[in-house]
Amino acid sequence: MTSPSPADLVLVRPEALTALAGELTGLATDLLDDADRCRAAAGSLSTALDGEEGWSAGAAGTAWAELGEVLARRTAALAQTVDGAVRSYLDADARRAGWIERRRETPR
Amino acid sequence: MTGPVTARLRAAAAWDVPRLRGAVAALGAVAERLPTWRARLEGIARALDSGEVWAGPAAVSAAGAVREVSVVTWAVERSLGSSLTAFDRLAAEAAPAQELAREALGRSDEVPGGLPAALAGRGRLAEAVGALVPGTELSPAASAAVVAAEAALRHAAAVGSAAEDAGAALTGVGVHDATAPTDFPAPASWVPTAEPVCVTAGPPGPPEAVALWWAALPLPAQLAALRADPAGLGGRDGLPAWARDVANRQMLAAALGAPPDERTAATARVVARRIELEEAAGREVQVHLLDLAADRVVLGLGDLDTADAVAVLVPGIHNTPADDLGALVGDARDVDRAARLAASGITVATAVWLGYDSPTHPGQILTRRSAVEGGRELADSLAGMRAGRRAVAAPDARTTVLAHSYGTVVVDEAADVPGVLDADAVVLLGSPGMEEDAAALEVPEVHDAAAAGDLVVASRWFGTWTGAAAFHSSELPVAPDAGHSDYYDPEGPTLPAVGEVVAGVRRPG
Repeated sequence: MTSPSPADLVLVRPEALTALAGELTGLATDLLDDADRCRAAAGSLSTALDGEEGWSAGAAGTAWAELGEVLARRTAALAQTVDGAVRSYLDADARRAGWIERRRETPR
Repeated sequence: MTGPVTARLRAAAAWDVPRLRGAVAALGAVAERLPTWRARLEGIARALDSGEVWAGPAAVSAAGAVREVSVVTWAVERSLGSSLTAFDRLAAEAAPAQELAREALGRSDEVPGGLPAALAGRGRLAEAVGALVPGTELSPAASAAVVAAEAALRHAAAVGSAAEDAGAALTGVGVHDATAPTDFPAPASWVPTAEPVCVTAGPPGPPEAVALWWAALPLPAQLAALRADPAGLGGRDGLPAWARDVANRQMLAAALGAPPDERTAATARVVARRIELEEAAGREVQVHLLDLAADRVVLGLGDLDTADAVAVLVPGIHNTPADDLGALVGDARDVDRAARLAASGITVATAVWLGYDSPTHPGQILTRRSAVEGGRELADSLAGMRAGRRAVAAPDARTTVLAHSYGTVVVDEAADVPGVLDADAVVLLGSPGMEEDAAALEVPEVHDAAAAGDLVVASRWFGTWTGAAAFHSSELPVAPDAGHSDYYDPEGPTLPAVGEVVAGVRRPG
């Protein structure tokens, strides 16, 4: 591993990068699932204890869920960004290829 | 019987403790999964950082953004850990609070004037009066009720305090007044995402402790540590292979850039050249050990952190990095190919293990001295590989040790090191004899290949012939005319069988 990646070189391996975006999406989904579990646990804490203790414990459990959701949303957004970058590189390349083809076909 | 005290006791008596425990257990499971989640995220950050998949200014920004999420996750992990400690305390206090509250309420009728009055009157003065005026003290049942009520209220108060603490533990990541941040910049603003100036050196061992220390560091701290102390980390068993590779490549670059040193320059040049050749051919290389002063090198082909199957090649006598690395890497490549042929779809990593003083003169060759020292190194190295994978939340690999000639004596000694040898299978190729039987190697599978024409095998210099029925190993096929150096021959029958063992599709027969 070399770190960080060189900024003076532009390189994209679309398939591999799409796979990384997929992994990020998977991570976001996993964390959202866990956030749901935290929310359910928070509800159980409130109900099981009732009163002030129940409210405090439930609020803390809800904060767990919200922190998980914040991380999951950010990860999902990064996945979309990476995926979008792949698409835009491929679109730009296709446009460039079209432009070159048109130039070749233009009579001189 | 009314009032806040009674209401409090009734509330505690009505708590649903099993449900409470279930909720805390669910939170505990989430907290336990988060480090694994972060390790997976850091794997993506490293892949982006490598520049092999995506390079350029946008890639640098994306890698930074992923690293930032990993650092905030690390901080959340810590906060959740503290919060969970409070929740555990809450669950532990709730049960006695409920039990004692029920006991107190059940006996409250025995208390003259009711529990609230008795609790209010319990003071030194009241006790003194009770002692001086016989008959005014509480009956044993009433007294028990009061004691139970007091204890129940104490435990209930602890529950309330633990609930508060569970929330307060989250303030470090931006949770205030029971309100969590709604977007990422908010918790990120609470967490220092810049690279730390210095990082603690971490434990020297054992590998499990090293792995735990490493996994607990956020990625920027890991990278800072590697930059600060490559010599201390490149060979530390328990670090993941990616981290050792980063450290050792720094060491290699420094060695190549330093004034020539006859003792180490040749090995450094050979390792650098080998990396260059393998990477040019599209093969992943990990420098797992680079101890130029001791002339020891362990070179990984593939990803030792994540491969499904790992094969560690332990060579015999007269092997040095400078002279033999190329040939041994060739053997490793052949093993890799054979394993993938045996089980398509699996990922394989191999390691050329030159982590000991391979004997070069008769005083070493004919004794176990090098093997004893090498055995310790090998045992630590195998334990380190397994622990390192745990540091990146990767499942254990199927690990096979492929030992050739004197390398089998090294494995023999590695098995004698306290603790079980961290491998799933051992393959003994052309062994000059083993101290005990296959069971003594402490692994589920022991295979051997011993050619009839192999004079080293015939010598039985170091003990039992591995082909003997009494040794209880599983025999691999060998070519009728094979000699001592032919076990990895791509044309021979042994290599495909070795590949099957590495891939885990050949069962001991």
